[in-house]
Amino acid sequence: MLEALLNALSPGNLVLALLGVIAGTMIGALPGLSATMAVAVLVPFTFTMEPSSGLIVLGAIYTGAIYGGAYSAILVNTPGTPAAIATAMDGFPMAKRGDGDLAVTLSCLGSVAGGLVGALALLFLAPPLSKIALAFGPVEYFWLAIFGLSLIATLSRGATLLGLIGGAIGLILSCVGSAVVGGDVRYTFGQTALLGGIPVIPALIGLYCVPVLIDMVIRPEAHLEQRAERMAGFRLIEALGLMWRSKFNVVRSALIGTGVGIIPAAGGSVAGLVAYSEARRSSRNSDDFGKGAHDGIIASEASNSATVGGGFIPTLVLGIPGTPPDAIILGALLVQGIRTGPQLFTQQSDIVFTFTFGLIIATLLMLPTGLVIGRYAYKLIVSIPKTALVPAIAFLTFVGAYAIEANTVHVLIMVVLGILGWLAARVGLEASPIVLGLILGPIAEAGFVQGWLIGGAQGDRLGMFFGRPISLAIIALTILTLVSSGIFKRAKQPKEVA
Amino acid sequence: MGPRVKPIIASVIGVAVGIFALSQTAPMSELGRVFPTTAGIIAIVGGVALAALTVLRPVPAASLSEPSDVPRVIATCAVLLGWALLLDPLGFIASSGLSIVALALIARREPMGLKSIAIHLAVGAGLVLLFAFLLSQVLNVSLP
Amino acid sequence: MKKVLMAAIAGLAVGFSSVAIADDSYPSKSITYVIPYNPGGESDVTARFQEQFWKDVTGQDVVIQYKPGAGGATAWSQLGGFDADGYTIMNVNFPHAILQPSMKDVGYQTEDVIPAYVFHYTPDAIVVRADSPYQTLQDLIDFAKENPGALTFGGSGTNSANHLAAVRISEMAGIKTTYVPFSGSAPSMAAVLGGQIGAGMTYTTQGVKAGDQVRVLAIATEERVDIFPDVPTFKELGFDYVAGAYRGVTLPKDTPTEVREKLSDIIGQINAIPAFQQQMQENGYVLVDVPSSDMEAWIEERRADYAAGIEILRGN
Repeated sequence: MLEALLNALSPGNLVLALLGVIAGTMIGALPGLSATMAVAVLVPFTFTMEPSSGLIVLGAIYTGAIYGGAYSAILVNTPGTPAAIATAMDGFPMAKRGDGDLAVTLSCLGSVAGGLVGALALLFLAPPLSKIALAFGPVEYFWLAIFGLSLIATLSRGATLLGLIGGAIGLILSCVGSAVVGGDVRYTFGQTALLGGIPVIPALIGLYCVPVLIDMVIRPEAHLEQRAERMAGFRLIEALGLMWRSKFNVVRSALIGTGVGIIPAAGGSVAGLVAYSEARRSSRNSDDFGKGAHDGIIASEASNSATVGGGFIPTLVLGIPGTPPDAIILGALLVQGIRTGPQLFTQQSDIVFTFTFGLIIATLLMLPTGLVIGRYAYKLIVSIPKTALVPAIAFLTFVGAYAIEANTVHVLIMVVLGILGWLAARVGLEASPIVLGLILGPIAEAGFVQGWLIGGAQGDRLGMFFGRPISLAIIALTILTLVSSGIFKRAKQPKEVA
Repeated sequence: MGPRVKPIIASVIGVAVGIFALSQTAPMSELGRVFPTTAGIIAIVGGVALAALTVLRPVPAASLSEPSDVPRVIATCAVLLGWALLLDPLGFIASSGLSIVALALIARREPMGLKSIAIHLAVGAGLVLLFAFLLSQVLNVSLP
Repeated sequence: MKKVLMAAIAGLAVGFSSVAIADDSYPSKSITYVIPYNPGGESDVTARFQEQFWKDVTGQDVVIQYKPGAGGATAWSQLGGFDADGYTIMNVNFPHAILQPSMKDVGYQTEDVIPAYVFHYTPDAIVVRADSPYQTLQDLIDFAKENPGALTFGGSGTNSANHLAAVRISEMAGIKTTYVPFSGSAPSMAAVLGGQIGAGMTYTTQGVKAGDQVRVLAIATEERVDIFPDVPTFKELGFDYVAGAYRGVTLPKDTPTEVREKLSDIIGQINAIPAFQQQMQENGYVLVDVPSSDMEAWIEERRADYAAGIEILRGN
């Protein structure tokens, strides 16, 4: 293991890790340019590099790209990846009121903390932890997705019914296309372009970013409020203080992120939402969530960065990749002649340990990189006049929606959903419930259909859905979240629907 | 708009989307129908409940007036839609260049000096070319 | 708004007729290789294996792109829209490309995605968890006979190669089983390893990946494969069943014949490289060589082979 550490610390590998983190962060900051794309482009280079160096670059890019998504979430309310949805919920309100620099620094610290926890879990506990992945069957996925959907109640403060309608619309949108599980072709209107369903990233960009653009155009004031008293700084001391006060939140969110990361097919979006929901439930100031609560950003970022290390656990131990970037890296490992499996961590381990140390180093390098890039990103967004900012952001949304699959239909879907989303928001149907329905719908549906079939085969559907310990625990958490969200209190103080 | 109009519109949207979702489920298989049906029913129930609450509840205080600028909104939407539709016929660089200028004109509030216009144009052109290069040469994404 | 969307999509779908240029020096620039699935699956991994040798064979690069969706149909239905100049090539899988259009309208016909070369197949394999009570295929069949419908087969997708395999094998063995579709091979294997389903109806490659966590009960090849010397073939066990997912490389329909044949040569040359062969075999792939000239007959043979299974699927 020591040899692997020294190998990862060689000057060449350090430079590669730094370059990887910088490139990854910048790519991740642009919505639509994803970790998957960056990693996929780099794979061929790793064929000619030293295997461990190649893997370090891949890991560094991936780590950076997951973090980079926080910038667009905080500064323009546009999560570039589903993993950053929860970051936008509090990050953007903070930026709006002039605390964007603090939000960026908090997201960086949160990510580093979460990333380290995930990577350490990968280093020391991978084989035993991989069992978590196997304990999650279809029914557990179903309940986990329902748990994620219950966050709608939390998000839609006082307007639960509007959230419910939005969530249902999202679920219906998620049904569009040919269902992998079941094979039905639904809601495509005979258009083959819709067979693959509503593409998630273009939908995210459209639903979150187009309304921001339209609002920027119609409001005369600046996009983000600027604090007159001083220029944007790192606000590192302040952020560190906040982190220390939220240490339980940091640890809890990082552990949730690691755990959810281990579950294949759940991924960063679920991790971010679950951690956010738990942070809100256990916070004394739960009413601040959604209005710029520090804990919201910390929870989301610590957990989504922890999924990086967590996600490699099933990838390397079981050969089951959790996310597309994991899958590409797994492919690169196969090409290098590496066999995945528990033995990777006992025999043949050098390359895995070098990779893991590379991941840890990349996470540490993210601290200076993230702070510096974040500061300039913030300054840039604050200081550019709207005449330039509006077209620039619009251009980036187009680039992102197109680039994800080099498909102009995706751009059109992005724009149409964005305009409809803006109109819907005018009558109170916000983007977040719709997006939650869209993202969690397929996980819930696949889990439900599979659970139903398996339960039917075993002749015990009721036991299938309600008789398994993990399922029951998730159901209990869901109920707790719903109760604490206050939907049952709404009759007392009806709030005006904005 | 009266204070009750918005929730009523939202509930009509919910009911309409729900009914539409349900109306399409006939050809689906038994299991494939479950989710669309559930979601459709939730949308309808949510819409009806919202409408009922809105009508029964005492009239709420008028909500804060939101800024509204219909010509600018329509112009922005039109440019975005046109941009998306012109990507293929005009190509990435030309359609982006045109739309960026159009959006800058829409977003403009104060008159701009020649120098400022020149800077904006240069930055815009630089941005488009930079990304065209980044996508096609570095990230291997073929552009229209 | 919907009308606008539909009109727009229809407008885009019409596309542009591309002028194909027959070029002696093909390929004279890098080629885009589209994978119709998410990364990490068999289509991606084999393309990555090919990628390593591509430059040695052609002198040019190959760039891998992913267009996942609808079990491959999203990409295949877009194939006709690409320039027919040989610089966009696509992975195509069988039985998928015969099965999907015969089940419902998926925006393409088998004739639109005829491969220039079919270079390998992943044999169907039934795998169970290492500690499963089923030691042999017969144990599995006996269980299913005693408990009709209670045996669950997990596989990737509905109306897919795995689904077809589950249906055909159940038919041959005279048993009733429940097929549970997953959104890919990886999640279906996770369910096998987690014990949520009885057996995985998957490919040899997944058996290799899972290593000693699983036991492979039978493999649908003509003869035993080297990496699983102890696993019997279905033929040995009395089932006349040789099948799997065949993967080839295809081009837009209007591509000039010379270009199609050149691509066929390139893939054939890579298939002949010993290092490539070794990599493929170690990971559970079985190489086949169907060049462009033999393709018509090969497709007909596939159609005939799948016809009975497709009838059963339609009846479901």
